[in-house]
Order: sequence, then C-alpha cells, then structure tokens
Amino acid sequence: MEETYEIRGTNWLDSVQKLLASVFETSSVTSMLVPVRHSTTHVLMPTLVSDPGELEGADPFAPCFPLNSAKLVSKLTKKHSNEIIAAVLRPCELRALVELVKIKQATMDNLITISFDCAGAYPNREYNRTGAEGKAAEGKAKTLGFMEQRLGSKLDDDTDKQLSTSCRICTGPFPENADLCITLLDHDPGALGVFAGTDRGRELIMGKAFEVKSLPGTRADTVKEVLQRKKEAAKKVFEDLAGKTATMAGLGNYLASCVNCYNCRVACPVCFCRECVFNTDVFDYEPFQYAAWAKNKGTLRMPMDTVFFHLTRMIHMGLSCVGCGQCSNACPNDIRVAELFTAVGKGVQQGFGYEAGKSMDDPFPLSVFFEDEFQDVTGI
Amino acid sequence: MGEKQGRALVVGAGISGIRSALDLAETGCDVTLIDAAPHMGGVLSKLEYQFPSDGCGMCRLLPMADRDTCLQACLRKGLVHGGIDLMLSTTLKGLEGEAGKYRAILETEPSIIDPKLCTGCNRCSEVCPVTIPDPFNQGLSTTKAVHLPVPHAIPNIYTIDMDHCTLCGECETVCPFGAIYLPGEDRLELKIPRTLVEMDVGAVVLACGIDYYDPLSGVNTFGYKALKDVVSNIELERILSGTGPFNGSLKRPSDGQVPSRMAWIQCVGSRDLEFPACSSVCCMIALKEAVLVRKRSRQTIETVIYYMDMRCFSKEFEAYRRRAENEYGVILKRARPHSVRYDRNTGGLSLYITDDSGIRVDEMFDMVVLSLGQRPGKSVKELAEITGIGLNPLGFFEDPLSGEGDKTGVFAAGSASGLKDIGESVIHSSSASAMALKVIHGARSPHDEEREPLNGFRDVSTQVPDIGVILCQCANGPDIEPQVKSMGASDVHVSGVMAMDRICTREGWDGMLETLAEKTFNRILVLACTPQLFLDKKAAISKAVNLDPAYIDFADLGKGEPLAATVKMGLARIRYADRLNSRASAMVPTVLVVGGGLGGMTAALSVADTGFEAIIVEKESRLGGNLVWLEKDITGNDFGRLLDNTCRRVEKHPGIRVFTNAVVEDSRGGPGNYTTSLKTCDNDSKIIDHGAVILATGGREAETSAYGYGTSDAVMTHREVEQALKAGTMDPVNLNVVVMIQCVDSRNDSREYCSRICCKSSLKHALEMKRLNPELDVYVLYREMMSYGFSETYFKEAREKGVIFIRYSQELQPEVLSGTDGVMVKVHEPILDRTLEIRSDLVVLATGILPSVIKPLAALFDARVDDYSFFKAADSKWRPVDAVNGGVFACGLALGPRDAKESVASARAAAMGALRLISSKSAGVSLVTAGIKPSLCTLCERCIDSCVYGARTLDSDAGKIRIDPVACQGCGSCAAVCTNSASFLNNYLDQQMFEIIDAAI
Amino acid sequence: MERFEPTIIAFVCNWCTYTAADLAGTSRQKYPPNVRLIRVMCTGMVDPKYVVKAFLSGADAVLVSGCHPGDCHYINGNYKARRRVRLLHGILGRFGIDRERLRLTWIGASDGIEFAKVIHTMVAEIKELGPAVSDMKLVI
Repeated sequence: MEETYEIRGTNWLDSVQKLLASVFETSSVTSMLVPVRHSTTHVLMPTLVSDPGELEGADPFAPCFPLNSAKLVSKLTKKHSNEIIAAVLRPCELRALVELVKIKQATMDNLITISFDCAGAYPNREYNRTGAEGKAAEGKAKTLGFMEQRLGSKLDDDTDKQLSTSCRICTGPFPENADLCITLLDHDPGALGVFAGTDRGRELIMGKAFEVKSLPGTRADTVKEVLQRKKEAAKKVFEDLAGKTATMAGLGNYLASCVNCYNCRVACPVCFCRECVFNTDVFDYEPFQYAAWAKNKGTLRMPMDTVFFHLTRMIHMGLSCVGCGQCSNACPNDIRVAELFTAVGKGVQQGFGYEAGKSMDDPFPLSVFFEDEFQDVTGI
Repeated sequence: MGEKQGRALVVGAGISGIRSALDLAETGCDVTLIDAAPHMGGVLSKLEYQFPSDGCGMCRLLPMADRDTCLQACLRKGLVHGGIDLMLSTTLKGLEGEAGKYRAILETEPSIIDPKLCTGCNRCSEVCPVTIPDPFNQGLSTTKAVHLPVPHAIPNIYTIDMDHCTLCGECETVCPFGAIYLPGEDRLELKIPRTLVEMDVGAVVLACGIDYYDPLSGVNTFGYKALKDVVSNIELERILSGTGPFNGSLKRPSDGQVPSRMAWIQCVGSRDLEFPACSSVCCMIALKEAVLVRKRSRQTIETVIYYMDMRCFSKEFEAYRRRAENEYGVILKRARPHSVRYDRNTGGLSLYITDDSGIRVDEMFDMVVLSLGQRPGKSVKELAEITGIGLNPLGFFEDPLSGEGDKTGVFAAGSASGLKDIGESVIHSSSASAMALKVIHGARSPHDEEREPLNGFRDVSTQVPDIGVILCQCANGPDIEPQVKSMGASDVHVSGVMAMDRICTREGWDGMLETLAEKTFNRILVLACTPQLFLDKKAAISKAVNLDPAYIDFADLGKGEPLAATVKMGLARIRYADRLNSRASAMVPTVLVVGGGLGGMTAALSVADTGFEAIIVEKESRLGGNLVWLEKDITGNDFGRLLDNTCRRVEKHPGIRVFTNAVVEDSRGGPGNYTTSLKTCDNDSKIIDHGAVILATGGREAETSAYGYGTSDAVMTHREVEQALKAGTMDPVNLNVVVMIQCVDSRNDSREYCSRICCKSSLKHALEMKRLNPELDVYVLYREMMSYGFSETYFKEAREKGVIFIRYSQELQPEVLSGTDGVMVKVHEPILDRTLEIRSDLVVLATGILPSVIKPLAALFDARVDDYSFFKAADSKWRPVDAVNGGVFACGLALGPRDAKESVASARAAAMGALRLISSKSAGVSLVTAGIKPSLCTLCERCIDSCVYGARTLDSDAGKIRIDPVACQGCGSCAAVCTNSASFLNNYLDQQMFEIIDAAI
Repeated sequence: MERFEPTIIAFVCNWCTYTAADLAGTSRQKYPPNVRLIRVMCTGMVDPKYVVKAFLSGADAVLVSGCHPGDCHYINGNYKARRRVRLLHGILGRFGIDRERLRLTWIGASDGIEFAKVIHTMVAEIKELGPAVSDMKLVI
C-alpha cells in the first residue's frame, strides 16, 4: 500500500516549501529547480536553488507559466554530471521532459522530479499585466487567492476567465510518474498530500517527518469530474478549430498574421533542434526566385513559407506535443497556435496509439516499425 | 600470349555470371561477360518472386563500396559496370593455353539490328506481319518476329527471330534510325556480320546455367502441351508476373477463367529412372508458388501439392513450409500422381492418384502445375569439350572438392554444376570467382592506365554553377530548340544551350564531345529522348571535358511530361550537383578469420592466395574443427587427407598468420577499418588491424537425451559411429540389425530448422556398413529424406542394396526400448498400417547441428544472429554470406548446416566478399552518400537508429556524429529522419528537392 | 469552362517503381501526362517536407511509390515510409487534403501495367475531387 503523507503548513506555499526543504535534508540533492519570486517583483522565474533558505520565494502554484521548464532541465541534464538535482515541474513540463529524454536531450538519471495537481496558469501577458507595479508580497497573495478560488471550485475552469485555453483543455493536470507527487484537491485549505510515484521517490520520502495520512476519499471522484469537464471543453475547442481550418485556405487564414518569428518553436519544449531548418540556407532563396513565383501566382504573400513552417512543425513534433500551450504564450501576434498544435498532436498520437510523455517505455512512433502493420495506408 | 593475363572471361550472364563478373570487377580485374542470348539475366529474367519475401531483391547483388562504378538501377534493366565488358549473343568457341594465359575465341551472332542505333521505339514491331509465340512468356502469349527479348532490359534493343522472319522488309523501311539491315540476295554482307574475336584471358568462369526437363521427351502421362491447363512451374511464374501473358492475373490458359483448385505435381523429370537425382529447388518453388496463389486470391483458390519428400533443407525453408501450411492453408499431400486426364463432364483435370493403401483417390483440379526438374544447360556439353572441364554422369559440370594440385584456370560456377537454388548458386559463383582470382590476381591489366583517377578532374567545387545544356534535337521530333533556349536564358546559371542532331548516332555523339571539349562548363545537362542509352557513356563525356561525372546528368524528354517541367527539373538537379569532401581512409588489406576449421582455413587460403593477408584465430589448440574426427563424405572424399593438405598449406603460406588457443576479445571500427584485440594463450593481448572479418566459428552435432541415448551403449549418434568406424572399434560384420532414426530433436517446435546433412550421413553410414557386411539389415526411420541434389543417387543405391526406409510422422514417433538383449525399436509403418517391432543391435540417432555460440562475437562487429543462433545473412538469396554492413562475412556451419563441400564453397564466397571490400579504391567516395552539418546537430541520435548499415556512430568525446563513408549506402533514411536537415543526402539536398518539386509544377 | 487538369507529383523509388515506370514506357502503356516523376533512391528518404512542399507549390495529389515490403534495396526503407505517410495522412487530412490525394503504393519492377493503372486511377479520382487547395493566396 502506497504510503501517503499530509503536510499542513500555514498555507499552501508554506506547506510546499516545507516539503521542498525536506528534500534537501537527508538526501544528496544539491540544487533544485523551482519557480522563485525575487523580493522585488511579483514575477516568477525558474531558479536553480542550492540554499534551502532561498526557498522562501518558491511558488510553484502561481498562475504564472513563463516557459516550459523541461527545456531548462534539458540544459541541466543533457550531459552527464555527478550532481543530483531536483526539479519542480507541472505535469505538462514533466511529460515534455519524458519526450526529451527519448531523443537524448535530457536524462533523468541524476534527477528528482516533483510534480503536483496543476490548477493552470494565465497567459504571460495576463499575469504580467496584473500587478505590473506589484511586489513580491502582492504576488504571493495573488497566488494564495488563486489557489483558494481554484481548489474551492474543484478546478472548474469556467469560474476563472483568465486561464489560458491550453490549461482549460488540458486532460493531464494530475501528476503521474513523478518521483514525488503533490496532491492539492479536496484537502483542507493550505494542506497538501504527497506520495511517491517511483521507487526513487519512495526512498526519498521514507523517514521524513510528515504525517502519514491517506489521500482524501473524494479525490478519485473529483479527479474524474475534472477530467470529464476538461474533455468536454477540449472537444468544443477542437470542433471550433476544425471548423475554421477544414481546408488549407482556412489554415492559411488562421495563420494569416504569422511573421515567421519562430518564437513558438523556441518556446516549444519538444522542438529540440539547435536551429530550425527554416532558418538555415535551405530556405534562402535567390531574388530571381521570388520574382518568378510572384509572376506565376500574381501575388506572393511575404514572408513566405509560413504555412509550410507550421505544417512541418506539426509533422516533426505533433507526436510529441504535450499540450503545454507555450507556443501561444510566445506568439507576438496572438495566433492561437497552441490549440492548433494540441488538436493535431492529439489526433496523430491517437492514430498511433501513443501518448506523448506518458511512459519512458513507449518508443517514439516514427522510431519503430514492423513488417506487417498499417496495411490500410498503402494501395489505391 | 606469353604474359600472364589479368582479364577474366565469364561465360553466361545469368545470376551466377553476374555475381562472378561483379566479384572480379570489384577486385580490380577486367572482365568480359558473355551470353548466348541477346539479353542478360538468364533464367532469372523470367522469375520475379523469390524466397523469403516472395518478391525480388536482385539489386542487392550490386557493389556496396565504389558504387559509382556500376549503374545504380534495377538489375533487371541490365548490368553496366565500368570494369565489365558485356557481349551479348556471344558464345565461347575455343580455348587454348593454360591457366593464366588462355586465348579464348568468341563468336558473336550477326546483328540484324544495330545495337548502337536501336532506341527501342517499337515502330518495327508495329509493322511486322509475323506473329510468333513469345519465348519470354514460354509461348503462352504472342509477339512479333521483331520484338524486345526482355521487357526491362536497357538499352532496349530489339531482336529478330530469324527462324520466322519472312524478310518482308517493313521493319527496315519504317525504322527512323536505320538500325535494321536485313539479309537479302543482293546483300552480300550484313552490316554486323558474325564476328570471331580472339581474346587473351587469364581465367574462365563457366556460368552457363541450367535447362529444364521437357516432359514431351518422356512418356508425358501428365498431358503437358496436350492439355492447355497443365503448365510447367516456369509457365506459372510467367502467368503470375506483371509482364506475363495475362498481365499478372492468374487465369487458366485454356479459357481465361480463374481456377478454383490448383495442383502441383513434384518430381516431374527428377528422382526417376532416367534422372535419378533430385533437382533440389522444386519443392520450395512449388511452396512459394502456392503461397503466392493463396495470397493473391485472398485464400479463395485451393492449392494442393503432391510430393514424395518435401525437401525444405536450407536453414529457413522449414519455417517457410510451416507458414505455407498454417498461415496460408497450402495443402501438402504425399502421393505420386500417375497421370492427368481431361474430364469431359466438368471441363476439369482429373489426377489419377492412389493413397498409401492402394485405393484410387482421384482428384479434380482446374489447373495442374508440373514442377519440372533441372537439366544441364544447353551449352554445357560443348563448353566441357572446349575447356576440358569434366562432366558428371548426369551431364552437369564436375564440381570436385578440388585438390590444391589443380592447375586449371577454368571454373564452373553456379547451377551449371547442378541442382542449386539461387542462394547456393550465388555462393558457388563467388567461390568460382575466388579461384579465378587466385589465377589472375597478379597479372597486369592492360586497362590500368586508362582508369581516370578522380584527382585528375578539374576542381570546380568552389565555382558558381556554369551549366551547359545539350539538347538532342531529333529530326523526327518537334522543334523545341526555341523553348529550351528561352528557358536557358531565364536561368541565371545557364550559360549555353546547344542543339545537337541525333547524339544517338556515332557522328552526333562525336560532334557533341567535340563541342563540349571547347567549352568550360562546370555542369552539363543532356536532354535526350532515351537517356538510358547513354548511362554508360557518362564516363566518355567526363573524360572529354575533364569533368567529374558527378556534374554531368541526363534528363528524359521521352517520358511524356511537359517540356518546361522536364527541363527545369533537370536544371534544378544539376545546379546543386557536388561531391562531399569526405574521404574514406585506406582499406586495411588484412582479413581476420575467426575459427580455424575447414571453412576458416579455406577462407584464409582464398584471401592469402590473392595477395592479401589473412589471420586465423582459433580457440582450440589445433586447426581443423570438425574435420579432425570426420573420416569421409558420402562420395568417398578422404577428409583425413583434406585436413592434412589444408593444414599444411595454411601453415606454409606466407600470407597467413595463425593464433591458436586464442579468442577475440573486443573490436571497434567499421568495414575496411577494424581494430580488434585478441586474447592469446598465456593471456596476452594482441591488437590486429584488419579490413574485414569472416566468422567461421563452426558448429557441432547436437547433444540429445532422446530415444534412450545415454542409457544404453547400443544407442549412438552419427558422430560416434563415424569415429568408431574410423578407429576400427566398430565392425559392421558383428552387427545384425541397425536402425537409424532421422530428425531427432529437429524440425519441431523447439528446433525448427532442418540440419540438412543428417539424411546424407545416414545414407553414407548405411552404405558403408552394407559394403562391409552385405547381410546386415539396415532400417532408416525418416520423416522426409533430404537427400537433395546428386545425393539422391545414393538414396537409390541404398534402396537397391536392401536398406529399408520407413516413414514416420511427427505425431507418431518411434519408440526405443533398451533391454538386456539389445534394443527394441517400435515404429508405425504407414503403408502396412501396422506397428513394427525391430530388435536391433545398434540405434543411430541423427540429432542435427547446433552452431557454436556466435551472438556475442557477431555483436562485436555489428552483425546479427538469426532465430536459430546461426549467423544472420543480409539476404538468404542475394547476399548469403554477408552481414548487412558489408564488412562481416560468415561461412561453414556458422552460417547454417551444410556439408564439407558446401562449407568450402561458402568459405571461398566469404573470402571473395571480404576481398571485394578491401580491394575497393578508397578514394572513390560515391556521389550519393550521407553527410552531416555538425553545427546544426543536437545529437538526438535518430539518424543512428535509422541506419541499417551501422554507418553512423556517436563520437562522444568529440560530441559529433561520425559517418563511415564505406558503410553508408546512400539510402537517405538518416536525412529523412533528421528534423532540421543537419543530416543530409548528397545530391538529394533539401534545396535541390524543393527546386525540383517546384519546377515540376 | 476549362476542364480541370490535375498535377500529380510522384516520388518513385530508384529501384522498383522507377523501373516499372520505364517499363510502362517501353511496353507502350500510356498513362496520362498529369504526373511528374521525381526519382528518389528509396521511399524511406521521402522527407515529409517534400510532400508538403508539393502541395504548397500547387500539386493536386502526391504519389509515393516503392518496393514491396521485404524487397527494399536498403532492407526496410519502405516500412519507414509507411509510418511517415500515415502521419501525413493524419495531419494533412485535417486540412482538407484527404487520403485520396496522398497515396503510398508498392509497385514491383515488372508491374508496368499496374503503374499505369495507378496513375490512371489517381488522375480520374483527382479530376473528380478538384484542385487540392481552392485559394492559394495565403497558403504558402
């Protein structure tokens, strides 16, 4: 029977900071990647903390999601190091990390992963705007207010209009396969639960001075409700999207304001290329070629290769998309990239019976193939 | 003629001839390849479906290193190799001299149609009034007297069947190129008359193939040719083919209906009084054809094979048989049909069959296929006389386990020495090439100076593309010059468009070369209507303008696509043409042979006899492997003498180093460049650099505990019997009854494969014992007698001498009960339908062959083992002794069960494979090969996973992906897998492809 | 109104299908001129980007054709192609490029007639379906 613990701090942030501090004690973890709020601002950034004293500013629960930390974990673990680090990650960041490990861009060998019931986040612009002059204390208060409202409504997304669409339609907000999983739903306010998702996590949590207490009995039902609501929300969003992009012309329209800044690919955690092929000489055209195309078609929308870029990105990372929504976050022209890519991603993953980020043992669908499969693909 | 010659003559351009010719050409010899037919390809040009994929894979024969010397296209189109001169319609008429210094006399048939002028436009065929049965489709369809002999071949030169030609002259009149010159009263001499050529060659390889039994020459109780729906196996293959008489639909020749029930009759023309040998291939052919019929008809056509023994004796064949029966529902019935008769009531064919108890159980079918036996090739007898090669009693070339005293330079290759399938033929022809190479390897080749080294070409790699376009403006076609000129004018890299008239003619071609030689283009695009004609001429253009052939390309105007698309696509392709800078490091001229048995020693000798170094690593203290305890084989070859001779040669050979009591520890590197560490006796480590490795680790007789083995002295294995007979501790005179049990622990769910040699071993011992004691009763209990090939004659002899053969089934196995007074063997006899009890003095178990553990060793060199733990060949038919990566080979028992003669052939073939690799000129890196841009690479390693040849590795120290240019075959998988094209395929760059796609629309 | 003539880009593998295409030519199997053959070494090297580029450049359909399973010159390139085409079906299919427009076929070297048949069928089908993209102005 999996041991579960309960931590009752003065509030959620206090509880989680107690847990994170305990990870430093009695384990060989030397630093921890966790969103930290510096005392001078309300904004959070992932920070590599090695002094447990600095955990005072740690706030993983704020509705602030500036970038997908899987990319940062990749930088920290891509090459071998003897240091053992911990990382506090949203479920989508953890899924992205699993996908990155499959393509050798990160390793989990010397990494402790900590994840939690994710209440979602606001788009960057929203979060940065509210409290533009704010300071740390305000930021912290905002987080606690957010938590109260979210957990109180049992993650009913309709009650918080500021949530990003990706979070609304996310069907994986609960931690799976993390070394330590933090539960928030249905606990008393300010309290949180912890259980180990792996053997390594089990070793870590054993012997910690936390109260052994089983998870709230209503959790299973609440989780089911939440997932049901999110599935329906996703369905609506995808249907709406399909209506707009049923044809290539529709897709072109949808992406009409794209300027090829490639921010979305920089923000995407599973877009792992050092430099996107669209930025290389493969797409450097000669002036006479532009002229020829313009002559052929009458008009030539510039910059070129916009739809090409997005279709290619779908092909390259659709099977790895974890639905984190950072692409929309990053787009300067507010194109709803995340919905498009999440929809495509889910569709193609289903087609291959694959779920991105679910398990290290599931091979990437294009890395394996068998003699007798998919007979329906061929022929006329 | 006094000087030793470096040219080889290969007679016969079928699969064996092609394999031999390529072997010799790849090792640097000049080769003349001749064939009596007006096309190449032999029997295989008519056969398209081969085990194991039931498809084709012939193109895998083509060279892997130095790919650009050979036309990279489907081998059915033809073989175009820089070092091979192909002469069609040519036969060997005389041979004088001695090994290394022969003078060959070749006769080429007169050509009514000039091969240099014919473009395959088909106009002659359209006007020809004479219709003949199409020989390509075995007469099942018709064609004209002037026709294309083989549909795929390029150049597609037409030929005229002069036996049926009426000399009406229509074809000559209509030919737009003046290629036809018919004989006539007023014409004293043909334009291309019969020619005799004398050629100095060092060695001759006879690969003239086989012919098939003609049922009409015998009693023909099956009604062949009388009944239209009784077809031969070759005819069925044609019917199933897309180029066949019914375009690939399976139909009955009589009425075009789809059959619902088909029967195969095995052993037609084999295993009978007139031809007492087994043709070896027909069982598998019938199985394959039945599986194809089942697949194609979605299992609606019933297929029944009537057989005596289902000879699936090669490694994976038994598994194929099981799949045929279990997955595809092919029905196998053991019976020897007497005859086929037409049933007037149903319009079907009735097979006269009796079952084991003698009762008539006639069956009705819509179509009957006769599995025809093989016969010696048509030219075998004549060639034997000309060359002095002996013939065996059945008329095939002799194929002795050659002693080293042989001074011949003429070698039989492939199925010409009888009764082999494709895989065996390929092995055997490589074995013949190895022997031929031994004779000619040192001789100076007169063409050496003419081979242009790559370094001699102009270096244009840093220049802006300067494209010259040659437009072949045919007087027959529309005037497209203005359009092409205008396209050239609007392309910034094109500096000249020149229209030439008919470069397919001598004058036109020479004119083009002259014009080009005056210009300084660094890219040349030739627009022609049939560029296939010129593929071997790229070298000529390259020489004329001193430009690397990589920068010369052809575009096909004859495909029917719009001119603009064709021209622009051609320009797009050539614009980016370039070679990669990578150079392969020099091949290490050493071959490591792991295992010093008969296979290992033979391979090492073949390598060392051609001037390279061989190193044998043997884990025991002496060489010889299984040959140490074997006495002789079924034909009486003395293994003791063979062992002594071979060991002595190995020990004396200056090119061979032997390490006994040594094993391989570790290895790294790739084809052409391996570094391997050995652990020698007294635990010393030795580092060896070598270019290729041959695994000859052998095998052993399988242990058993079946049938009371181990509990009684009277139950022995064949090895024990062999050793006892050899040592004299067993005297058959003292025995009364011997029972031999076949297939012990074999051909079942736990060990699926047939061990191939056990039936022969039993026959050998049975005959030996009978010879020493004619009164001895010998019983052989078998499931299938796998006495394939010529060993069938021993089966016949054994029966004549009174050996009793009792068939048992897998479900009802014999029982052996050991008691105080000997051993009692109980077996159910199917024809008597009774259980026999045989009291015997000796029970001999045929337990099969197991490989010596090979998996970890193979893994060191990136090679694989198969499901039975034998070496996994890249392709059981086309690359039977190679690993996929082209640097590792295997022979002998490591490859699979085989007898001594077959082991020797496989060893020479493996040596030949290794020699092909280490002879290749390292400077010539192929045009189409993979490259990498390290600055873009994120080391995701997907490219490494996608490469089947193991050509990509991660250099973790440098943090880079390394490509082995020798192993890379230019397939492009790595490029397609790489998301940002850090990995690319040269000559198929993304920019290039994009421009081509754009131009196409 | 001008009758719609579709343009089909065919990526054919150098070994099997290209030979079948040549064979169709030499055996006078006429096939419609709507197809543009682009020879690649193996279907396994057909980068999905090429297929996208074809459609964005105005192709109405794409055919990828290679050797039968088990016959690939490079052992298993065609299996890789099969998975990639499946992925492309899944993605392009969402944007109106249906499976009829992107076909993967195995055509052996002797199947010249089959090759011509495939082209005929595709051209006829695409003629019915119409152009792949109705308004190309923003689709680039």
